[in-house]
Amino acid sequence: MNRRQVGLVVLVVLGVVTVGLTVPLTQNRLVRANADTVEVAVTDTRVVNGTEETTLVLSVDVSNPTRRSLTVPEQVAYGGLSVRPESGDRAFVQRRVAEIESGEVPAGGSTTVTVRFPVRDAYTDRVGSLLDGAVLAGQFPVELDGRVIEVEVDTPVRGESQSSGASVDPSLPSVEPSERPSLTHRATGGGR
Amino acid sequence: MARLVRYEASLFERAVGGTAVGLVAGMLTFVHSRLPTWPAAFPIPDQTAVILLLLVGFALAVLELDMRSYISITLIAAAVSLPTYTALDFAPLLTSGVSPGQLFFVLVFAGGGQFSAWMLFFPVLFAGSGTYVLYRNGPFS
Repeated sequence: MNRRQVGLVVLVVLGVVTVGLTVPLTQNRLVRANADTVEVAVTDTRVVNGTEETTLVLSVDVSNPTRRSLTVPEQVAYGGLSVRPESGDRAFVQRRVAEIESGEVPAGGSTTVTVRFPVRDAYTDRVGSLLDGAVLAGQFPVELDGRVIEVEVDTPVRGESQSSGASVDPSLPSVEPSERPSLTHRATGGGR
Repeated sequence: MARLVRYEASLFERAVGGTAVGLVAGMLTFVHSRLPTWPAAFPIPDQTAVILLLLVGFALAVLELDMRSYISITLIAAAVSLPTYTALDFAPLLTSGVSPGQLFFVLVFAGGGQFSAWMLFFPVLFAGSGTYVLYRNGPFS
């Protein structure tokens, strides 16, 4: 093999390597750009009266219509995810300490994860009324290939899925700490 | 020392070679400029795209083309690489059903960034070729 043939082979190899670098990056960018198609909906709302604090526990369904699987990272959401009542005091939950449970969201599927908000002491006796018309709003974090994408969320805490009778008691009863929902999540759907 | 016989590429070879090198250069410019969004799960060194384009320029010079062929190929490559990079960079926009009017607006008012990045990155190709020329004719030859 002479020098020119070696040069030609090297060029072909470099071309293949370049395509190999470009494809995942392009896919990544397309998914990030389509992050607004990720849907977040509250399917279950509960108030847990603990010994030290009262916690608002939301079961959140995350639907992923993109072609890549996403991860909901387990974290304390510092990005401003909060529950905002329709009217009245907006500070009834401590918005900077929302605990989000991790979960895998398959491409074209959905997963339910749990989000917990500590309720401020002054509001524990009227959480139920504050939740009427309240929304889960702010940035919900999902992760693609190790990088976080913030999905804008503005969804009712007592959503349509709840009014259809999906395991929700509209009176939002207080439950004992022993009845806290488990940290396991369910995944539905599959890759495309 | 034997006289070097440089290869004169045909028009077809120049067109194919220039287009291929342009596509590769455009893709590498895209990879380099968008490294902050590179999947963190598969880390690569920051200078990967620079090194690859240097190697492309080096390999292009290894072909030992005559000057006219080399210039033709790099001119075609330059003409292909900028739209390739711009298209890749605007891929999310292009796939979102943007209208031609909106696309024109974006290219006019936002395309400058792509042009600047390409202007800074594309010359790396010549640096690679120059490295080979130095290797063949310089003090180490």
